[in-house]
Amino acid sequence: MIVAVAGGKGGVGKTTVAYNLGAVLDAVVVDADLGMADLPHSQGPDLHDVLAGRADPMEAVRHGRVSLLPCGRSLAGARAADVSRLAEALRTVAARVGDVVVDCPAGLRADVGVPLAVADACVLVASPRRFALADVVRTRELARELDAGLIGVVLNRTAADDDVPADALRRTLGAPVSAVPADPRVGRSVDDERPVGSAAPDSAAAEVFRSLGGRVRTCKRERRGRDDHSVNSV
Amino acid sequence: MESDWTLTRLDGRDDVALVTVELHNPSPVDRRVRVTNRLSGPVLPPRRAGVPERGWDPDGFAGVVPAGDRRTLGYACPAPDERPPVEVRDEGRARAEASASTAAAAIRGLDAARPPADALPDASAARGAGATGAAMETDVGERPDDEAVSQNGDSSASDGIPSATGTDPAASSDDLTTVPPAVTAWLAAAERRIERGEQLTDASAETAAAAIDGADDLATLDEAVAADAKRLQAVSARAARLAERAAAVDVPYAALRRLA
Repeated sequence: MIVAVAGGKGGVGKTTVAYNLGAVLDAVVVDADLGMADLPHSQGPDLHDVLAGRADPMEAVRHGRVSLLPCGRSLAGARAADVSRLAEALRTVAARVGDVVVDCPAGLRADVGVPLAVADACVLVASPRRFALADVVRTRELARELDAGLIGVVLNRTAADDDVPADALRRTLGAPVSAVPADPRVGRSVDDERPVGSAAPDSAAAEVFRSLGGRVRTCKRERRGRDDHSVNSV
Repeated sequence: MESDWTLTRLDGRDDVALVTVELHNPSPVDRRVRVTNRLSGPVLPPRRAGVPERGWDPDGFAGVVPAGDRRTLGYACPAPDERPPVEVRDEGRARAEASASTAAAAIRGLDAARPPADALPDASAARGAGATGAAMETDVGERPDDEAVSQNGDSSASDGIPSATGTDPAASSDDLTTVPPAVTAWLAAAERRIERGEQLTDASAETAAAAIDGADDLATLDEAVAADAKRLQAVSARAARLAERAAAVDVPYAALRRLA
C-alpha cells in the first residue's frame, strides 16, 4: 500500500509525519521532494538516480531503524530527474516491501500529483495556524481529483492556546483530524533517526502516529477485502 | 462514424509525415473510436509536459467522440507516405469512462517539478565540456568511474537540444576551449614523465644525478614514456577525426523544435 503525506505549505512537518508514520507501519519512507529533500541522506544512489534511470529503486533503499529512500540534494540532479518515472519507482518499491510512505514536497506541482495519483490513500499535514489551512484544503481537492482517499489530517505542533477550528476542518476535509502537540522529541526524530514511538512511546505524538497507522491498516484491510470480493464476483 | 484524414509533410523535412484525422459522430450517442497508425514509423503524439495527451498510445489513439460532435486529432510520424495513413474503427457506444486519475494526468495537468535551467549554478557550462569536467571532479572521488560517466552522459543527453540556443561563440569561447580537468590531469602527468625523460636523454652526469636523486621509477620510465607517446598519438588522431565530424554537424533545430 502506498500512502502519500502531503500538505500544501512547506515547513509544516510533512517529513516528520511521514518518517514517524513509516516507523509505525514498518514501511519504506520515500523522500519525493526532488528539489528540497529533507530525509537523511548518505552515500549511494538516491531518488534522483532512480528517476534519471541510473539506479534501480530497490538499490536506493537504505535499511535502518526506519527504511528510507532518500533524495539527492543537487539542483542538477533535480533537473535530470524525470518525474514520470516516479510512479513506476513507487510501485516497484511497494511491490517488493509492502508499504511505502511518500513524503511529498510543498506546493501543487507534478511531484505532488504523481505520488497522489499512485497512492492508495493520503495523509494531510497542516500547521494549526489559520492562514495555513487554505493550502491543506487545496491539497485535499487535488487528492480528491487524483483519487487518493484521505485517511486523516494531522495538525502539527499545536499549542494549548491555539484556536483550531478542528470541527470545521473535519467537516470541510471529510476525515478525522488529530493534533500533535509541539514536542521537541518529535522535531528531532528525523535528524536523530529515532522515531518518536521509540524515543517517547508514552507521548501524545506517539499515540497520534499509532492511531494514524491503525487507520492505514484498516484502510488496507478494507481495500484487500474489496479486491478479493471483486475477484470472487468476476 | 465519419472520418477524413490529411497527410502533409513537415516543412523542409520530407521524411516526417503530419497526419490529421477528423472524426464526426452523427449519431445521438457518444461513441468510442480507435484510430490506428498504418504508417511504418512510430507515432509521435501531441504532448503536454512531455507526456502524451490522454488517449494516445504507441499504436495511435483511442477515445470518445461525443454525440453529434466532431473531434480532430493530429500526430507526426517519421515514415514514407502510405494511403490511407490511419485505420479508423468505430467501437460502438461509449460507456462511462474511468476517471483519468493517472500519474500521466497529474504530470500533464500540474506545473513541472523541475527547477528551471537558470537555477543551476553552472547553467551555461552545464551544456558544454566544462560541466562534464566539473561533475567528474566532484563525482570521481565518491562514485565508481562508470557511474560518474553515465551521469554525465545522462545530464548532457537531457539537455541536448537547448545547447543549440546557446551557441554564441564570442560569449562562451572560454568555456568551449576549457578541457575537462581529468584530461588536463592526464596530460600534466604525461608531461612530467616526458620532461624527466628529456632531462635524462643525453644528460650530463650532474643533471642525471639530480634527476635520479631519490627516484626509483627509472627502470619503468622509458616504457612509460613510450606508452605515453602511443596513447597521445592515438588520442590526437581520434580528436582530429572527431573535430572534423563535429564541424560538419548541422542540427535542424527549428524543424525538430516544431516536432517536439
